[in-house]
Amino acid sequence: MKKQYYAFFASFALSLVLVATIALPSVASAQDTTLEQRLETYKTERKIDSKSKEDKLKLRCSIAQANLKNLQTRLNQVQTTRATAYKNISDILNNLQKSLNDQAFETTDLSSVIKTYNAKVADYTNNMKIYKQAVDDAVAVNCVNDPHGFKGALETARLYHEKMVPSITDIRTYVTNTVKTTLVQIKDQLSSGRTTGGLQ
Amino acid sequence: MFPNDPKTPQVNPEVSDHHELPPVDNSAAPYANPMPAQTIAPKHHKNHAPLVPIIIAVLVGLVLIAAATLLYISTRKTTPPETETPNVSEVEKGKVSPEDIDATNKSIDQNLNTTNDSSDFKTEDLTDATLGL
Repeated sequence: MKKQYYAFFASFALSLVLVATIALPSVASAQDTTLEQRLETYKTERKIDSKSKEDKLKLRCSIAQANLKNLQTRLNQVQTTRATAYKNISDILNNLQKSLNDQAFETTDLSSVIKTYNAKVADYTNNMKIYKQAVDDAVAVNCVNDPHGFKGALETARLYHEKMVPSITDIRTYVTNTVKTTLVQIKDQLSSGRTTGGLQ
Repeated sequence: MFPNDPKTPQVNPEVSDHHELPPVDNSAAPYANPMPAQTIAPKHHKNHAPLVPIIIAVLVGLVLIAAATLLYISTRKTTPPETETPNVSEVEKGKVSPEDIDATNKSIDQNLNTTNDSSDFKTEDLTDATLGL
């Protein structure tokens, strides 16, 4: 009789394990981190170093949150505009490369330029996402109850704000100096009737 | 009346007083003694009873697996491919001319000029003074 109960429990446990194996990864992948989880990460990475600063922060953080809300609204617009502009430039270059390939024009340099450009844009996009998320979290957190969470989110936003400026400057410089120079070279080659190899 | 005679009833007075009879070899006399039949019948019942919950558990498990699989498939399909048509001046099909490169350059400039590096990310955006901290 005992063996039969063991068999029953074993089969039921096996079923549960199978269900968990299939269901849990899909559920986990479908969900992003929660505000609470992110606040804990902020707190462990960036701490408030004194009690007096904590008290001061509790007192003034609601004013800071109102100002951050304005920044949050502006960042939504910035994020969308830049994503569209960078994607359009990528599409323009890809279309040109395809057309040049179709007429057996050498596009190795252009291909390399597009690849580097896309990598720079991907780097910007990733930093922008973290920056925007940190600002959103700094606005959303109850800063009086959780000044450490607010401070952590704010410091993370500051850290990634500093990364944004060189990132967007780098993209602009690369487009102006490298992408456009490559296009001028292609134009010269087309004007002189050269194809310099290319796909057959 | 021999002890091993199949027609001889195998009644043991010492054993008959107990609730459970010791196992009796009735293979030699399957129809002779009604008592062994009473002891064997519950054994058959005991063998079949636990199968029902096991089958139910397995079925429930299979249903849950099917549900989890459907959930997994549905979550993978929730992100539809982007169908937005970008604002791109596509090079005309056919041969690319030097003028097409000029147009491409112009399009890149137009897109780049929709962004403003100095106003999009101001250095004072997150300072204590700006935030009122």
